[in-house]
Amino acid sequence: MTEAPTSPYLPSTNIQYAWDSTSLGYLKVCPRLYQYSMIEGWSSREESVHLRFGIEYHTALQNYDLSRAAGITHDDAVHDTVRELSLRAADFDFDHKTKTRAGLLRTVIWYLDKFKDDRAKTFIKSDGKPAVEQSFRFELDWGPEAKSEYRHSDTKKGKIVPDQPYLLSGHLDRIVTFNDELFVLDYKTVWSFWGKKWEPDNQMTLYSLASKVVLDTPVRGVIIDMAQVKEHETIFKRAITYRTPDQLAEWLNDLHYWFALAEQYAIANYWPQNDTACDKFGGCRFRAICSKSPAVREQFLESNFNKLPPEERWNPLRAR
Amino acid sequence: MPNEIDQLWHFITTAEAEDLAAMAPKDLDAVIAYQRRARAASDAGVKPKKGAEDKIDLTKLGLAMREEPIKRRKL
Repeated sequence: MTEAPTSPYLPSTNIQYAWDSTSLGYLKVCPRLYQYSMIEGWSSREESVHLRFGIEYHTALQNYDLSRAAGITHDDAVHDTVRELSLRAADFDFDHKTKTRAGLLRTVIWYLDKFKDDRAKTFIKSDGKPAVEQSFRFELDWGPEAKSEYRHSDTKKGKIVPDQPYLLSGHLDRIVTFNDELFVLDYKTVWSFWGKKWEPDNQMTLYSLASKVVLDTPVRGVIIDMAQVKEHETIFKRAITYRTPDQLAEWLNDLHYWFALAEQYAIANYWPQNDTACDKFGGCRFRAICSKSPAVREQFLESNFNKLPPEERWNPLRAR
Repeated sequence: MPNEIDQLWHFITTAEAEDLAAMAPKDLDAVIAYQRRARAASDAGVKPKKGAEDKIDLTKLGLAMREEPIKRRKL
């Protein structure tokens, strides 16, 4: 039985102290998107398709990487991976144009075939284990300041400090050596390659930062292996993005302001719309809701989305 | 008229878990080899058409020689 994860919010508040790139991304894109997704847990059927497809795709590639690191040949590792995937995906029956069971099996086989002789090799850690699906969680040196009961007096520093520091968490798909340098490798399915840029990018900067913490050694950047799943074919593109120590420091500094903002919204119990972001990323899934009069939005949410129970909502503290 | 590989592909993408568990290893290898050919064709610029994934003729494309045989462990 899987243990329920701890809440990422301070008790009896909407003040989030544990963050990952998804929740932070919602906040940065639009506070209302953050409210609907994170605070209230509204989930669409479309979202479920993408989530399940992504989980199965990542699991399959992770299984292959682990097999290869254990010395199993490419063909045998592909065979085992596809067999396990076909069994796991037997109940994958979403009515979607591209993200289907066939699309999933095809995308995994094509990816493994395309990158059979990849120059990016899985990094083997000092304990002899391959650096695949590395979860990370680390504390920052500051925390939410709004609630006085979560603060104590630090006599050394001579000031009131929060008891609960902010946490950053997430999962790195794979750490690889590439051209004699270390990189995080991230598997991603994309809607389109058009306009894809990774500098700056919230998720990739967090991953660059986290990899330094996980490995305690410099990581050059992130390799992003993108898969565009079409109806009858899958197209792959690889991008590489780099981060300098200055860029990481700037991102962390900016985080003070983002977290302070998130705290303000939580205290006010109000998350404003960013109405310049509605058409980004192929269109926000809540656009139809936000376009309605505020008085009827709740009704439309209830008829078009599922409100997940708190234990099923997106939680940066959930273990994989 | 669907051929054997069509049927295998249809099977692996629609069957229930218990039936998939009984799938012969050689049939799974055939599906993988089929998808490798499909990828080679896609890389060669052949645009797949609906319902025509089984009609990829790599020999006509001059790609048949590039296909590597699947080398599986002996069990």
